[in-house]
Amino acid sequence: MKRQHTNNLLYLFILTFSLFLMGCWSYRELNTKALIAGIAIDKAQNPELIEVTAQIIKPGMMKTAQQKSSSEGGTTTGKPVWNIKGEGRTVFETLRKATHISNRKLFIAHNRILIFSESLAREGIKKHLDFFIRDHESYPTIWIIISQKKASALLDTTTQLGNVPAFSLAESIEDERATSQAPIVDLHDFSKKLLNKTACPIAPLATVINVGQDKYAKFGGTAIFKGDNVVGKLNNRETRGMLWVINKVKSGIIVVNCADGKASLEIMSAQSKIEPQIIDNKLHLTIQIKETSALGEYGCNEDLFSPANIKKMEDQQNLIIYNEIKDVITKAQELNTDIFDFGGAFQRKYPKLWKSLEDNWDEYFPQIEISIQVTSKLKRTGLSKFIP
Amino acid sequence: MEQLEKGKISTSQLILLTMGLLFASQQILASIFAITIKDGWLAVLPALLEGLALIIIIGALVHKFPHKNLIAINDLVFGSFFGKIVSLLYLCFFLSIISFNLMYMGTFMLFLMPETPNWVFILFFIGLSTSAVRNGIEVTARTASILTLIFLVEIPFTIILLINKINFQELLPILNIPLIDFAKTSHLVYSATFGEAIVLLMLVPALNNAKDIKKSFLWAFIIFTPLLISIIVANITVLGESAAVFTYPSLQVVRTINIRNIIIRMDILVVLGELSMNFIRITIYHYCLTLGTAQIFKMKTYTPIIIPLGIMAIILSFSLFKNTLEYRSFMTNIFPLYSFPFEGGLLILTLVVAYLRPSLKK
Repeated sequence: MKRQHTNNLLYLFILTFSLFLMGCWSYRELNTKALIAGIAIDKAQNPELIEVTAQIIKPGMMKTAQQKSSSEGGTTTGKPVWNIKGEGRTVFETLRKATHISNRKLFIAHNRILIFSESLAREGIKKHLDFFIRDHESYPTIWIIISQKKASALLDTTTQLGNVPAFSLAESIEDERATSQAPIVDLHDFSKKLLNKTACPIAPLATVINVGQDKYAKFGGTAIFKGDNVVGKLNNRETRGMLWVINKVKSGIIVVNCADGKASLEIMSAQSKIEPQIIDNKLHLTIQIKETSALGEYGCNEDLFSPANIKKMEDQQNLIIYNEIKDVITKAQELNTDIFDFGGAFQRKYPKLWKSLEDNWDEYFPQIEISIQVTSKLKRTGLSKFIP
Repeated sequence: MEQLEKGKISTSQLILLTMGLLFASQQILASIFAITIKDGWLAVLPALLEGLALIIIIGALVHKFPHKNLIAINDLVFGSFFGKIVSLLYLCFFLSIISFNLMYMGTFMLFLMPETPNWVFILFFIGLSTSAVRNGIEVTARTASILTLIFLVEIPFTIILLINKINFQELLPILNIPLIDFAKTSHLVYSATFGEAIVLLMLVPALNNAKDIKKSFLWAFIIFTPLLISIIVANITVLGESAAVFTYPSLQVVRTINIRNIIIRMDILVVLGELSMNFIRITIYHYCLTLGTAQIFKMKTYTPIIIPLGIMAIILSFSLFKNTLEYRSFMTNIFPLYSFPFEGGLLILTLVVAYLRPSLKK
């Protein structure tokens, strides 16, 4: 009985002391962190160094315009972000160096985009990517963007909707699924391709355009990597051609001719099937595309409800898709970059033979004979029958 | 022989306890992917066959020596001197497993709290398992049941979140590696999962119905196998070729979850699983190590040696490996061989001697 009593006293003693403990020793409150929204990596003047720009959110200024005008009389101007720049030999070193300027330590876990300038990416980005894969704070869900001009310029762009340029960039890259004219690539997809011996990584291209005084970021096109170097670019049309093949087209508009005008078809769904074959020691490949679309706009006076008319538009649609794919395949074979992961298709079907193909894939890939079959259907016609 | 600890556990608790013990083996994923990526999941099936063979051996031993644990069986079969030596070898094996798991958890937690020294986590684990062992097998089994059930729900939940990342084409081509590599992988899986069930042979006297040990192992293995396969398949289909790169593949898989920027940063799911399952594993080994030591030295009570043995495990966990890379290469290349005598070899010898010795024949 007495023992029990002593024990209870001991517990009470320990509990009382725990009140004076401060918690984890590596605790960091939100107001001691500098939250990074986006990172841009450029070449520096000195060829040995790189320039890293980190966009830091200023939480105090993250208010809506209405609140701003009511509470402070519209006196605060400028964006609620601070672009901190530094030069260094490695990404990690440069990011740490930012603490010389910043009064808070940079916190990378909320980073959403990673921009490389094209000139840097032409020299290889593997060594700069490693930090983002290895570090425990960084997530594999960040978007990869290749900037055609200076990468840090994208972080300085104007945003009409939303306050933080980096977040706007992240949102607009996610919206690219509406046009399918830029690939949507996160670090996870990119590193997966990077580790594949034959497949070539891709990344969306962005550039800065001037509209009057303002600068806006504009997406479109694809950067093609061989290994970890950019070796070529695809324009918007070729990008959609590539996305048809790798089964990533979600939506988009196809414009076809009708009798005396034009009609726009909206892509509703698309599936691709790649069937490799080896005939007489030659590599053949059949790409089958099945697409359905809806009539979104019809600018002709012809009667819409004639089967021949629908058929005409479907045929044109087939041809447009066919040409998009054909052009991009020709380009990829010229550049000798397997952006479609055709190697993987052969590996899955001919695992034994693949061992000899893999090492000489650069010789085989441009020689593959490719046939494309497109079947598309126009399924919906919308709410009206013809131009009223 | 008198039982040192009076706790009793039921058959269903033993099933959950066994599964908790097996689930703590996610650390072998990195070792599997170091050898083969695409066939990792298939290697579980031969490992299951090995596990079923182990069940038959254990069943035969339990049938021949009812209500005796491993130490008592060794004493009966090999005589009191050689029996003690064999038992001591087993206990050293248990001790090394505790320190491997402590080492693993110590480094794993560093990803969450990089500035905290890893002895904090190791002390925390040993402190928890000490308290669990002191409270006896009944309390441990009840805790383990709850934790395992939570983990069982967590696996399908995680996989549902991953659905749009999964690409089944990554599994092809099937069986495209040399047979020797495949055998190596499946033995690796066996040694880190099914083989570990051997430690539960120490718990035979604590079972309500010792004859059921065969049945409960079988159930545990049958429920565990598809879940392990689905974990490995999720890893392969999400990570593809890059699975070989990561130190903690499961963690990386969960980190890729991004559903419209709302459901992101789900790493904590994996951390919770690893914490709870490794707690079960460390506690079971700690319990069996303590009881076995007390039994060998014919002690009246086992409580005084819980903490000293825990301290031994901590010291071992610090001194065995210099860094994580050394630990990983040990787990991949040496552990399957190192564990073989204890996870089957010695048991077969015991069974053979038991049937050959005239004094043990009925």
